[in-house]
Amino acid sequence: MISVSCISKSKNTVFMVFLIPAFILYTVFFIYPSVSSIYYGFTDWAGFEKNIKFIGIENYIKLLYDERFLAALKNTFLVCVILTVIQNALALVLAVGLDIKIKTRNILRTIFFMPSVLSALVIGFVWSYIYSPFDGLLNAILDNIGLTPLERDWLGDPKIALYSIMFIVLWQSTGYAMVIYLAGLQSIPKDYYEASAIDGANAWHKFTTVTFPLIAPSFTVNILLSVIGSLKIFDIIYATTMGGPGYATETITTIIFLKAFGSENEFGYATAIATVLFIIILMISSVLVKFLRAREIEI
Amino acid sequence: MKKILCFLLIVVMVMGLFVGCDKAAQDEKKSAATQGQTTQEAAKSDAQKSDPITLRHLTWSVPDVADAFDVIKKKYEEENKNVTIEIENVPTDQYANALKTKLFAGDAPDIIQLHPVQAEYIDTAKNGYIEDITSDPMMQNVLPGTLNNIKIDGKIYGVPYDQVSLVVLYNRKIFADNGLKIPANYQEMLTLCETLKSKGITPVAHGIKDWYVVQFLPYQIAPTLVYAKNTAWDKDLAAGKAKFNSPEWEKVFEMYLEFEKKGYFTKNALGVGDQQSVQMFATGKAAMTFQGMWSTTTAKQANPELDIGAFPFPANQPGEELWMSASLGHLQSLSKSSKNLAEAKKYLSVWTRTDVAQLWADRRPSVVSTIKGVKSNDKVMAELEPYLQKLNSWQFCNNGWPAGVEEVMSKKFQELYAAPDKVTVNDLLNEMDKKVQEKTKK
Repeated sequence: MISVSCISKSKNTVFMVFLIPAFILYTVFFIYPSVSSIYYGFTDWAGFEKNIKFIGIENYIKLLYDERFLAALKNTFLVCVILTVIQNALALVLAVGLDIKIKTRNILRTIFFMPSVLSALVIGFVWSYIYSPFDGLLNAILDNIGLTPLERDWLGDPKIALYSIMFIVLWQSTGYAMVIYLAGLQSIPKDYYEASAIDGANAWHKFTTVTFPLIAPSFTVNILLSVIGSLKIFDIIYATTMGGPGYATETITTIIFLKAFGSENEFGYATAIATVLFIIILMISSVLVKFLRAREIEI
Repeated sequence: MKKILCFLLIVVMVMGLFVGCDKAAQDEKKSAATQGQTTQEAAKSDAQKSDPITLRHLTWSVPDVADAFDVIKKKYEEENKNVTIEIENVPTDQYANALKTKLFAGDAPDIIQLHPVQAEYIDTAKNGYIEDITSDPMMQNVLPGTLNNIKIDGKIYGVPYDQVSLVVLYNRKIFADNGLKIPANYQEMLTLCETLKSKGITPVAHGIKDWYVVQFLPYQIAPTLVYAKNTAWDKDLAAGKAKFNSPEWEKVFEMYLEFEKKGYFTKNALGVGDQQSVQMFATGKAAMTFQGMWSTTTAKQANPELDIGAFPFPANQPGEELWMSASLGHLQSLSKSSKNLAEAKKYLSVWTRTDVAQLWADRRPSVVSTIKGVKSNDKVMAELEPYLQKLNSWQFCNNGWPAGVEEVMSKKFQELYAAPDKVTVNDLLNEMDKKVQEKTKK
């Protein structure tokens, strides 16, 4: 406490000076490229063309009629809703389960958390092999336990490919959300449970009246992380299907990548899409934060 | 205050979207920088009299190139003690990105390897990134026939290297065991497949999870059905006089789909990747596969016992002339902005020397050299060579199309393959025409 009260204005300036290098790096490598990206969204920059022209909102008008973009938008929202709901429900169940004192608690926590330590590319390639219809593990297992009719071409069938990918993401990220919930659970004082027990509450009542309201901060963080994360979903798709078969698993981010770095090199158009995604995420998360924070304050 | 903080936090998180793409480029620079350090140190240790020069050669690696680049690099460095060649090898699927990043950043390599397609060779030439070498003496060493397809308004901007073919690879043992002959026309091809099928052998290993593989069969059929009838078809397309939605292109894709309808392909093609389909062929799960000659190397790696043969896909009716697929593998071009242009030119001309090109060819048995006097020592190639000498050939069709058409073709074909009741060949061809219109309008 002493040190804090001692900080004078001059010392503050000294601290500020120490921040300058980091600030410059951040500006040059992050703020500047981001802002100039927004500018390039208004140009016709494509391929190896040296003369980049400003074309106003032409890219944005084109977006409205681009069936491929609209399909990707639909896929992205589908992924976002399904992943956010299932991931948080699963993570919460796991967290509550692993908060109970059982012998294998720590091992189980580690096991569930493990996938989120791995690189998304590694996970993508491993799951590509698991899902492979030619010599894949999943179909082999189904075959061996007598469920041959359930065998599918998991990533090759356009009807189910997106769901197969969502399963991989769930497998990967639920453990991470679980840890955040666990941290939230541990911050709830034991007295509340004792008090509610005296009032005659059963396990379900305890969960709905004590646990659930009091982990609201973890809830906010987790919902936000999974909404933003799934709107930006890219790496797993890149490593498994690259948006295929056809256009079946394309999301906004894969379109940005394929438009910019595919055979057409429409950089201007791709950055316009990126700007749209930026705005979408900004709006959704602001609304969510407002809503979720309000819930926290009520308690 | 809390609200503002929250808002800022979101902005920062969302901003992450925009910088993601830069990371690959940064990593690349890092690795290039470390590479540069080690080669520079090596150069220092050499006792040199003339000024040391470092040439950067940007290339991509395909599985069958092996150490060919290093062999030529070492040979040149031995002959020219003051020069260090830095080979910057980028994975194939990242090559176009790496090249663009470098060119836009003003960090152009001295020697650039290019695909002979619109989006790479033609666009870099038209935008003045690469040097015109039409009248350079080194072009005398190149087989003149290989130069026709790479002239842009009569000028040449790179040394064509390697001719590659799309073919039918077949398992010679399966063919011999069943007394099968190489088919001479389309009818015989169907009969051959029917025979194999009736004996319980899957005729063709097929995997089109990677969209680019879709191109392998149509580019073998179209030379006979489209380009043999009209060699100016691509020009007509650009001029709006020809359309993909036409009976001849319809036939191209119907021929492709006939294999699926008759059950000649391995199952679940949309879930099987390029390499996996080669493995299926190599391990004898199917008698043939439609592939590039470059895949013979991967097939042999998967199964060293495998006895591979190759023949051009017989898209011809009896009595009709067969045209096969043969295209340039790549071009080696010189960067216009190179600080050591003279030295880079000297280095590139060494690539056109017969002895050096022979070194390359020995390490890449699956391609035909474009340099005069180079001989192939490969058994599979030896089987294909008579066809290459006897038959007319056509480049990979997309080399003559506007950029992006092949991608639309492949992805729409994947959709068609998954749901033939919903997507028709005409839908596919219409989509291709739409893309052509979009690109030629500009």
